[in-house]
Amino acid sequence: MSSLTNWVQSEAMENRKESARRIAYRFRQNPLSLVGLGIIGGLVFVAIFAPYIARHPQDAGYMGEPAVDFANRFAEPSLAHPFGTDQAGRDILSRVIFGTRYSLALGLFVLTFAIGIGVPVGLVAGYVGGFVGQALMRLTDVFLSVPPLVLALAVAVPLQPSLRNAMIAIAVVWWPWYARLVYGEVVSVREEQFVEASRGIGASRLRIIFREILPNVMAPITVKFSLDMGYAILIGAGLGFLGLGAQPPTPEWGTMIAEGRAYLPAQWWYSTFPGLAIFLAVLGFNLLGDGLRDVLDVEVD
Amino acid sequence: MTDPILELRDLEVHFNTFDGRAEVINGVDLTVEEGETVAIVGESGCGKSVTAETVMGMLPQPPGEIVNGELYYRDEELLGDETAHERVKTESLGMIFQDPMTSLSPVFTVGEMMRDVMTYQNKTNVGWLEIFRNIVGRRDVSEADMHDRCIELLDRLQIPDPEGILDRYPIELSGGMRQRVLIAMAMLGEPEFLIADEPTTALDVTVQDQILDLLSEQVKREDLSMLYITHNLGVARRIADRIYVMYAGEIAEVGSCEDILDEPLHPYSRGLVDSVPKLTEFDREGIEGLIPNYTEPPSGCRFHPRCPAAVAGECDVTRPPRFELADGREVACLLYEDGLSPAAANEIAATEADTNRGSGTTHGRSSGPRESDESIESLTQRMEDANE
Amino acid sequence: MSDATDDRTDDPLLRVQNLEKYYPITGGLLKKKVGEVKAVDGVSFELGRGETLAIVGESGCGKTTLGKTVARLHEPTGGSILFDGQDIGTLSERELKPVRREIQVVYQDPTSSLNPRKRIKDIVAEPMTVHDIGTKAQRRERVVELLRRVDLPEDFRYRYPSELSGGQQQRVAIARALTLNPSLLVLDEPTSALDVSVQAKVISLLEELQDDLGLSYLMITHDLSLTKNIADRIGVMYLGKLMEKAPAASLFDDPQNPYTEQLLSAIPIVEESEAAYKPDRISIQGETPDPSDPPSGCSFHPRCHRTVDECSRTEPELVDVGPDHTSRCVHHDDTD
Repeated sequence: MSSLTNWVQSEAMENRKESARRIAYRFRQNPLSLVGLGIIGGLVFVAIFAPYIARHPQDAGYMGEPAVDFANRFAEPSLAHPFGTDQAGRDILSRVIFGTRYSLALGLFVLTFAIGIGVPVGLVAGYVGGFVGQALMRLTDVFLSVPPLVLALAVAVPLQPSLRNAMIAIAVVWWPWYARLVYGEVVSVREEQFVEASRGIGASRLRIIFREILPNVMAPITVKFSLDMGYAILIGAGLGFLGLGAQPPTPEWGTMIAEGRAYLPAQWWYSTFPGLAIFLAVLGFNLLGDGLRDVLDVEVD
Repeated sequence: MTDPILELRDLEVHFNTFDGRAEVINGVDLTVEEGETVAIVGESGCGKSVTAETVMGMLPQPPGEIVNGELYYRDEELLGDETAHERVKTESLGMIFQDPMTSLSPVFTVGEMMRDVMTYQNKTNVGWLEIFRNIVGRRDVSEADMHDRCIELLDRLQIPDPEGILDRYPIELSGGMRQRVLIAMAMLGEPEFLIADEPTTALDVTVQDQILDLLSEQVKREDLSMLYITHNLGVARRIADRIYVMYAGEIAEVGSCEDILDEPLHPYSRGLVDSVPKLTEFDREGIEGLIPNYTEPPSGCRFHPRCPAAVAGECDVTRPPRFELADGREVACLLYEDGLSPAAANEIAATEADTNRGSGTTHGRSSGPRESDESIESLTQRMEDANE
Repeated sequence: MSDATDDRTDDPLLRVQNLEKYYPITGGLLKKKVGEVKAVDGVSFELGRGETLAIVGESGCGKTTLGKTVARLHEPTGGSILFDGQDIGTLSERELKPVRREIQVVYQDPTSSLNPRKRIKDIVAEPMTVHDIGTKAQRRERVVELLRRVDLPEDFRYRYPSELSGGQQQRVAIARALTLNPSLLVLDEPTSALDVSVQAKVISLLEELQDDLGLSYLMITHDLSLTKNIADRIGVMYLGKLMEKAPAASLFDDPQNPYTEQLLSAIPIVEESEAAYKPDRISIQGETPDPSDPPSGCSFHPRCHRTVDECSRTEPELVDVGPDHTSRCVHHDDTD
């Protein structure tokens, strides 16, 4: 029996290897998605090892308040300070590097929250339907009817401006998109016969929703997650720029751009490099999302 | 005998897939005589639709690729000459597909589609200017003439209220009506050769019966030739003069309907005919195994891994040519190599099958041996006991 | 209820009486009911233990709705479904749970009826998981046994449905249906998505399982030739109603209903010898009408080759035309 078990397991491994090979093949068909994967990988690496990568971690407020060095203010980009320094003489490269942490954390929190609320709402509305479904989806529509940035502003303004409150504001805006996406998917998956078969076996509604339907809507959620990370970072930076997010001297990209705006165009490097960082992050997540869409073979909106 | 109207010689079509190069059509020869209806029958994935697509000049390339072969229509070679193929297609061929809902546009009425067919028939490379002129209503053919022609054809296909149907959208019609409209549209161009790919598969038997009647009526009336693709042997018997049995991209057997269905010779045809539930009997043996992987097709005869009568050392080595028997009957099986009579070959096949079974050789069998015969009841009982 | 319980063993496993499943048609802003589709309209039949009853009909005749209503995937709007003496037509979802172990459905399209994101072992074990039966090891053992039972290699456990052929997928679906030892299987066109050579093997598996396990089959199909070979009794359905019901042999030897004759006439025969079973060729009119607006009188009269004036006025009842043989046609009254 044991040799049989071994053989069976190696067979299963073969299948897994096979599907990994297929995924790699699909990715190769779309080289830009590999670029996206590279960018995201780089950003995550930078975020994790920021204290070791940045030359002046104390300038970004690592272990304490951001250091100041007025002697060195507005130094042009040079070997010592590749991105230059700001009005307090802080190394912008180090601050941009630490900014990665804030942006990724913001994106992750927002989307985790949005998925945590939106997916169950969509699942329940889609499978249960009827009055409950209608009520949930109409509520979702109310949120969707206001442009996201405007709604985020409306939520952020009455709160204390801080990074945490900016996250909450964006998360509140975001979940309805997931509710709608999942709702649409569930409505089509619900008609599949395996759902009816499960009901015929005697499975409960909860079981059907989470064990039968949810695994079949994971692919579009994954793709949307990747595409949305970029947008969430963009909106987070937008709130920071408007002064509703992280407050200076936090090295958050949007906040930095807003600060640097006062010194344009003479000290161009102050706003430009955080802006490029945002561009790179958004681009990376978009390319990766596109690639995932091909690999997982799904349509999102 | 005169030259055949359509002749396909040694067609080979490959497809480039993730798993490699799939040799989907492997040397298919096929002829259709003037005024004859020929059916290609086979199970899903046997390559019958790819063959039809190649004849229609509609094979998607890539991923498909015609590696070898010639297609003669009235002695004119078409596979090497795209312009000629296009011309023959528009002038002489008519096509009917399986699913009328996907081959009819949902946003045009039946009348609009039929008028378009008439406007552009016998034309290749229509320019933008001409399309624009037609859209604004300055067609070369008069509206009244077109209308009369539509009504005439719909009438011929026994569509009730043809005037009304012209203003309907496909979705408003029943399945049978849609298929009739599709046949009417294929007939608009006054083709001399029809290619039908499973046109009745989606229909109920009573409606299928009507459509088959109508189709054979049109074929007889206009003296058409037809290539009919189907998986349904009964339908093939009703509509065709001759049958080509196809398996894994190769022709297994050719002959008249009666010959093939009442006395199949190739072991595959025999398995196929036997597997169909009939009013008289039903052989539940089926055919062991699965259709082969086209990227690594079996050596020799492609059917040998599933064949009950396969002879080791021969069938897996030599690819059988099509042996000609009496009356235009051809069988691609080594059993008929020495001009054996069907009876003698059958006998050999039966003996082979017995020895194969006796020695426990399970050809391409996907199932494992059933060792334990413990009844399901006892096990469930045990499980329930354990549960309590 | 009380008089039905005294002698269980002689009772049929399933007795369906005047079963109705109407779907409302709503219209207008307020979704007011403007009509109804009588998908199943007063169907009665019995199914004995170990017996196969086939329901034959064309698309839209309500045969699938009938099968699924019997399996209580739909709630009937009228009539009763006596399963093992108990009326399961009115049970709530909770009360149904034990019944669900006894009645299982095998669907037409195995690609759709197996969850593409689950491994075969989880699919086959699902009924045990849902009903909380057995330990992990026992479930595993049972899955292996079931796969063997349907002639699949046991290492298929680790595969996903998309890695199997259509015939193999259908075997998995059958294995899942057998997991809890049901007594009734509703087979909804179980082989019509398969090639004939595969169909033959699946059918022989089903027959073997029936013999070994004493299963009863309610088989829904459009293939008359298939029913001739495997069913004990056959019901012919048209627009929600049974038109004729008879033992297989008498239905084919002596069809009484004009609709049955038309179906028989329309079968394209494969072998010469089959011709003996076919009635003279009948020219068939039209298609199944819109079920929301059925014809008056006998619903088949607009297409019938034996229609008379009376057909559009009177709706004929099912009458006995032979032993265990009933049919619905105005002409039967003439001869009686």
